[in-house]
Amino acid sequence: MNKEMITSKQGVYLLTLFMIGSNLFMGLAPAAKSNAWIAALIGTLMALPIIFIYARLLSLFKGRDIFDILNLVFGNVLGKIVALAYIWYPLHLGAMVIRDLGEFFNTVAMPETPMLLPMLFMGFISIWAVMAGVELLGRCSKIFFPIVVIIMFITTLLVIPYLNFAHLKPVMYDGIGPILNSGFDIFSFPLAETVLFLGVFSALKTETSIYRVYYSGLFIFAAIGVLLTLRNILVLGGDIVSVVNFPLYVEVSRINIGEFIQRIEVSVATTFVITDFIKVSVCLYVTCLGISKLFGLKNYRSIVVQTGLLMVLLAYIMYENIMDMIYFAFEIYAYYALPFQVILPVIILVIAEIRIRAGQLQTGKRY
Amino acid sequence: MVVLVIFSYALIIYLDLIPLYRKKLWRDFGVNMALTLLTFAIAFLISLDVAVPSPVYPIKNLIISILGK
Repeated sequence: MNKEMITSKQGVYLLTLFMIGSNLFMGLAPAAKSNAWIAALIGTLMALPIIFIYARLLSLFKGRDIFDILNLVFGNVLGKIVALAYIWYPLHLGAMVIRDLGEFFNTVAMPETPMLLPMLFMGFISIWAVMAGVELLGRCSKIFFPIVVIIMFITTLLVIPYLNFAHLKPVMYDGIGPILNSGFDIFSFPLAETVLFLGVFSALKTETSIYRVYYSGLFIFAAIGVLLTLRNILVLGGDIVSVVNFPLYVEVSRINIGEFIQRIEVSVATTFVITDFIKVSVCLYVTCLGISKLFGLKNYRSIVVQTGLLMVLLAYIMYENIMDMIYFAFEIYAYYALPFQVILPVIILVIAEIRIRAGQLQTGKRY
Repeated sequence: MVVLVIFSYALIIYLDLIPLYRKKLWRDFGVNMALTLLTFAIAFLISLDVAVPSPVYPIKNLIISILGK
């Protein structure tokens, strides 16, 4: 049997790129203004227990993905009903990410290109990658991760002349409330979306610890996220960061060193496209896996094309304009995603633990 | 636009759906067929400039009604 495998390093890179995807460019926690970096730290702290739950689920059922787990834990009928939730959620999430990309190109990078075009091409690339399998995604992330990190590092070096530490000054002026709120936003927007990796990490090589992979990805992302949020605030100031739709892009476009090094915001657009690609591919993979498991198909590859097209079209019809998108992403999404990210995994874990203790469930090899 | 959509769907069906039929994978063929019809309907409506209702607005209204914002 030629099962696809990704190594633990590739898993960490994939996880990190997935978390960076799209939301870092829309700005982490714009509502917290100049305290967004504290909110990023708090969001990471909030994510620690929930990530433990995901990793625990994966380590209990080694080599199985989330749809197998649902089937084992809830039985055949109820498992399939719950599986519907985990088919809809990645489909919607992938559509949201594709729409982010479309709005980005439509508003900032290429205003005269119709929005459907970049979205359609992103869909095509993702379909191609998912057709090739999760192993290819792992290798892609291994190549892309250094590119993203190097671009971030170089732009950080170049913005040093523009740093203004006075922008940080009223620390927690509005009290702790807005910061906790923004921390929850960060928790639900990039961090707890890693629930989708319950479907991907069944391909992880068996000798590595799943906890280690999950937590390394989380901490790398937390370092990058806090650094970039801090950089945004130091260069632009909290008020501008909370108003602009794509703060990272605006920030890097300010770089002008000796009239020579300027207009390097394209590098940021590159990282945006790379990380979006990884995120959309993971979402598409999980959706296709779910549909194929739901209907008992031979191979998930036979439906990738249509699911990808469905995702792109859903992204196209989803919102009327960018204000809708921003409103949904920052006001509604955190509560909408809560059942998928927290409530269902906790229920699954509790029932699984009870049934394993009662000896009703064969889990295979355990640590 | 409409012609473009029909032409590209003919190509997709030829490349994606017909091989499943030849291999006699009936379940895969059925699911793929259903998805193809769904996406074709949406793409066709978009190309005719019909405003397809977004599934996001009911979700938004539901959550607003729960939270009472």
